[in-house]
Amino acid sequence: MSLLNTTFKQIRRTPYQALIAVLILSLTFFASATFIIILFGFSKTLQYFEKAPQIIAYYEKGKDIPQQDIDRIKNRLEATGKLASFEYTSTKDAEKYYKEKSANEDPLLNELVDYKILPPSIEVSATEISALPQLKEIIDGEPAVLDIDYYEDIVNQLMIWVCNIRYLGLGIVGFLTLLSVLILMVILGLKVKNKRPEIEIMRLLGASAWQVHSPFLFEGMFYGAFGAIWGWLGTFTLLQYMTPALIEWLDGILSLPVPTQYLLMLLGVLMFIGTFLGMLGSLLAVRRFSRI
Amino acid sequence: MSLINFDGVTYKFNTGVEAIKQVSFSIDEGEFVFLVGPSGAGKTTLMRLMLRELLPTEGKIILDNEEISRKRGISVSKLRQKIGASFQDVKLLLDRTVAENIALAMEIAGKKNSEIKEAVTAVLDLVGLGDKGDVFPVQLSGGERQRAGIARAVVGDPIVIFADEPTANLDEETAWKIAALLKEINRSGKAVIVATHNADLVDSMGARVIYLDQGGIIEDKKKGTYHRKK
Repeated sequence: MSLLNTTFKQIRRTPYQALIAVLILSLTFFASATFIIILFGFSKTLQYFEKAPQIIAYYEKGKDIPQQDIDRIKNRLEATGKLASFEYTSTKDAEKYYKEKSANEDPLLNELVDYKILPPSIEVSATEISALPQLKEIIDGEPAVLDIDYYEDIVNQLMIWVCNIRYLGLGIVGFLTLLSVLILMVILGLKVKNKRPEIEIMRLLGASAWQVHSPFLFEGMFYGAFGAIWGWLGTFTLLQYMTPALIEWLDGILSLPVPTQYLLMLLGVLMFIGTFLGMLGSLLAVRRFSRI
Repeated sequence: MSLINFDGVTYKFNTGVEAIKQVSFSIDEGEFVFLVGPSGAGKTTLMRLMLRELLPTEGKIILDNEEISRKRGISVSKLRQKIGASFQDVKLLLDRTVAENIALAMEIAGKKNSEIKEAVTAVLDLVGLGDKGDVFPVQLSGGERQRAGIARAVVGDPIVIFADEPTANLDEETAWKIAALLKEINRSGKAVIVATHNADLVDSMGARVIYLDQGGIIEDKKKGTYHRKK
């Protein structure tokens, strides 16, 4: 009887144990895949906010700032040594950007908006988040500035969220992984124990350790790989279901839907980890229970 | 030519009890040998030592020119594939048919399917179970189960057959059939070692008898009987 036949025969004979093993592994991989995608999304969002201008100062609508004033502000900011980028957007540029962005909007509304009602602005990024208050103070001191958009809070909040989600994810995935390996070990351990007479006979007939243990190893690897596929399918379905809402909510921040090749790569990685976890659980079970 | 050689073999259990004490003997190719003695004399322990299920505490066991106590891992498996063992409790797998049980020994040895099929059919005919290949062990009588066990022991063409109490719990007629079968296997040139309490079987064969008591050999006769003649 071939190795695979023996493995599948073992699985067929204990369908409920097989189901429990696959379900617990599916749950682990569903949680893992979901946390990976959430973390990926948060990291991309954080990158977006880090790359975006962190301070935007708006001036009076329809009145461009003289070049010498722009140079003066830029020089003051550069003197801090913390300026990463500086960009001036004139009223005409603002009108151009507005028209580009709202090309698909109501044409009548587009006709009504022109540079006379749009403010000029300067967009500033710092070399590091902690330098933002210093740059903001300089811009605040400019009498012509009417309003300031300041992203430090958003970036800080996002960093805290990413950090917390990472810890929470690691904790939950770690716990579920441990639980999965232990459950696999117990399920396969029971099978090994039930098969001890058979193992003893096989050993006496000259079976090698590999011949005796390999069906259990393959069984564990099968549970791992199958659990990974089911877990991934769960995450994939959830992502497909939520993508329209996410596109609406995170438009411009994240590029959605997530490309299929990334999701397939994720499946490959999960199957590899699943197979490894399955093998680990089986090895522990075989070591623990097959001593004759 | 010597096939099995025990040289000053002692086996002590973890409790310190000596099951085998300074045992030395050799068995030639094609020889038929009975191991007799009261319960606890050490017959089964000797068998287990030959199968390298146990390692001697002292002494050397040489089988087919190789010292078996030095063997580890895969070479133990290879050694066991050279030995055909039939056990008192038969040790058939209850969820496999008789033919599958017999085939297991050859599958383990990595033989081809066609070869296995041919050999299984041949040994089933040899042991008189030609029509029972597809039945499960629970559907067999005690004697048929013993014969299936012997079939599994001989199917891989081993160099020696060990049979531990092959006629235990069998009626007289079935016991004689088993004895005849073992004799036939021996006639084909294989060494056969039988541990038994069956006096009639030993007396009828006129074969070599090794008498064991309290873990030691007390007599080794070329043509012996079950009860030692004083």
